[in-house]
Amino acid sequence: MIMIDIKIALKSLSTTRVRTALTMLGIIIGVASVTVVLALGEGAKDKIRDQVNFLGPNLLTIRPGQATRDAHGNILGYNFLAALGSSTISERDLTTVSQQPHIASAAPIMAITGSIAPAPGKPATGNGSIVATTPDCMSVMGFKIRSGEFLDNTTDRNTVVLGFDLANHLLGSDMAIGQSISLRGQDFTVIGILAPYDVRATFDNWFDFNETAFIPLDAGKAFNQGIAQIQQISARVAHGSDPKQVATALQQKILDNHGGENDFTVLRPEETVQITDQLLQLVTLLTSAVASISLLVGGIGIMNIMLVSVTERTREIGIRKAVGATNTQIMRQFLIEALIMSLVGGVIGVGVAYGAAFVIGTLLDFMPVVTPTILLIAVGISTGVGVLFGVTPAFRASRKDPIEALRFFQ
Amino acid sequence: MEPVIEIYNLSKLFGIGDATTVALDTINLRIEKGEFVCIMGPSGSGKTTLMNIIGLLDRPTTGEYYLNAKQVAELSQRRRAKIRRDRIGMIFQNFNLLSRSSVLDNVALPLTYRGLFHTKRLKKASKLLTTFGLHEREYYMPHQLSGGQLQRVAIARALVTRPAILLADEPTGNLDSRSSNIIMQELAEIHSKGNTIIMVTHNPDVALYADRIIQMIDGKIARDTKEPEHELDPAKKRALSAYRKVAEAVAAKAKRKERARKPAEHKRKPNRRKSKREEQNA
Repeated sequence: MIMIDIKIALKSLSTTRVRTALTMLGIIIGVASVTVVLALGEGAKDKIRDQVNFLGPNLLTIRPGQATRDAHGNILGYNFLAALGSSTISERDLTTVSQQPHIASAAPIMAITGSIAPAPGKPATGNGSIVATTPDCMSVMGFKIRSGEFLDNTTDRNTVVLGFDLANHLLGSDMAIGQSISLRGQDFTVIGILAPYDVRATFDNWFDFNETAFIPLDAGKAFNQGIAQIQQISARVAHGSDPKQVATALQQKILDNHGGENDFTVLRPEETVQITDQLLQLVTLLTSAVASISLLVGGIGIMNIMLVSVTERTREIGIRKAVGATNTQIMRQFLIEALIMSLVGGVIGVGVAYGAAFVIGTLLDFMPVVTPTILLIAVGISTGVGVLFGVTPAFRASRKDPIEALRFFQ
Repeated sequence: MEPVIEIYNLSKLFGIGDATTVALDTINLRIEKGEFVCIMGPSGSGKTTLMNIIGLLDRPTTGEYYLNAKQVAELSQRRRAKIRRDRIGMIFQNFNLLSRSSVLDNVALPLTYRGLFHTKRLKKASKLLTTFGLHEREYYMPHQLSGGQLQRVAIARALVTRPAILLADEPTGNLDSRSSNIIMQELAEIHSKGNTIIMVTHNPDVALYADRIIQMIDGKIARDTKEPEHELDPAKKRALSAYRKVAEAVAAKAKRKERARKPAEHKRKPNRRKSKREEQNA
C-alpha cells in the first residue's frame, strides 16, 4: 500500500516540477549548511586529536586559571577568563617542576608583545610572535633544527632562534645564520632556524611555532622589567612514569608554592583536547543553530506549498473520496508528498555538503569530515522537517467533506 | 425481494436562517435489489441531492437511511468510504475525472484504494475500456476526449469495482441520441446481470429502459410508478420497441466496427508476433 502511495505522490509532484524543485531547494540549502558546519567541527576536532598524538601522551601543560574537576579527576569545565589576567605561574614554579623526579624536562612559554623587524628602523612584519623560553623547550616540544643551533645555556642574551616561516618572511632564507634582526627595537643575532613544525596554532598551542622568534628567558625578562610572565609550562614526563600520577604530584607541589591557592591547572594531553573539544562543540552547536534557521525556512516552504496544493486539489480530493479513499489514505498521500520533498532534498543537501566540504577543505589547513553520525543527523532532520511541516496540510486534506470538495470550483 | 435501500422521512436542508432551502422534503423510498430505477423531475427538484445521499457522499439533515438493512448514520467515516469503494459506483453529471491523470489511470483509480498493484489495476481498467470502445484512447488526457467519450470513461470508472449499486446522474446528459443509445445498452446489460441501478435523467426516451420511474417535484416524490412493459399503452409500447431496435442496431454496428478495426489480430491469435504486440500494448 505504501508503494502505491509513493507512486501517487511522485506522480503529482512531477506534474508541478518547478514548484517541487524550488521547494526542495529550501531543504537542500538547509541540510547542506547544517551538514557542512557539523563536518567542519568534526574536522577541526580530528585535527586537534592528531596534534595530541604528535606531541605524545606524556606532555603535561601547566597553565594559569582553574579547572573544575569531578571526583575522578576529569575536567568538567575551565575558567578561560583567568587566562586573560596576569599569569599566576612564576619562575619558582618552573624550578619546582624541573626538579620533580619524574619530569624529564620542562620549559616555560613567555609570550612577549612586540614588533619583529629585519633590521632596526625597517618596517616590522605583521605576523609572528616573540616567545621567551629555556633551552629545554627544544626537547619538550620536539623541535628540529634546520640550520644553526637552538638556545643553550651558553648562548648570549641577545640571540634568537626563528621559526621556519618567520625566517623566510623576515630574511628570505632558512639559512641566514648570523644576521641581525630587531625585536622591540633591540638587535638580536639569529643563531638558529627551526625546521617546519607540524603542529599549527590551536587553542592548546597559542603560538604558531613556525612564525615564532625564540629568545632566552633572561632576554624576555629584560623586556618585562625583570619579571618572568610565564603563560605556560610544558613538561615531559620521564619514560616509564604514569603521567596521571605525576600530574597529581605536580599539582600538590605547585599548590604549596602558591600557598594553597588553587589558581593554576595541570593538564594532561587528553585534557587539553577535552577543553578544546568542549569549546569546539559549543562553536559547532551555535553555528549549526544558525544554519538550521535556513532548514526551518525550508520547512515552512514545504508547508506553504503543501497548503496551496491542498486547496488547488480540493476537487481531486473530493473525487478520490467519492471513489472510496478513506481519510487516512488521503492524509498519507499528502504526507508522503511532503516527506518525499524533504527526504530527497535532504539527500541532495548531503551531496551538496560533500562538495562544499571539499572546496572549503582546500582553503583551510584541515579537511571537514562527514561521519556516518552526521549523515544520520542530516537524513533524520530532513525526515523530521517533512513530517513536522507536512502533517498540518495533510490533515486539512483528509478532513475535507467529500461533497463540499466536489462542489469546489477553481 | 430484499430491499437494498430504505429511506424514511428523509429531509435535506441547505443554508441557515432565512436563506434555508429545502432540497429534500420528508422522502420515503424503498428500492429492491436488482431494480432499475429512474428518477425524473425538473432541475432543483432534489434529484442530485438524493443521489449524493444514497451514494454516502452527503448526509441527510433528518430522517433515516438504511443501506442493506444498516443504519447509515451510525457508520464511521472510514466505513462509509469503504462502502463507497466496494459497493457503490457513481457516475457524475459533470464526470468528475482527474484532469491531470490519463484515461486509464482515471478508470483504475477506485482499484487503487482497494490496494491492487499497478499492473493488475491497469489491466482491469484497460479491459473495461476496451468493452467501451476506448482502447485507443487509454493514454489520452480527459481534456482530449469528446463529451461522449468522457461519459464512457466515467461509466467505466464506476463499473471497474463491479459495484452492486450503480448511481448514474444524467449519464446521457449532454450526449446525442446515438451515444445515449450505446450507453443505455451498456446500463441495460449491467442491469441484466443483477445490479441495482438508480439513474437520474431528463430524457423520457432514456427513462423507458427503467422498470420503475420516480417523479420528483420540489424535493418530494410526486409519483412512483412501476411499469412493466406489458402494461404500457400500445402507442408507448410501439415507441419503445422501435427505440430498442434502433439502439440494438447502433450497438451492433459499433461492435462490428470494433471487430473490423483489428481483424488481423483475430486471425493471428496463435502467432508469437501477435503476443509480442499485445505485450507492447499492455
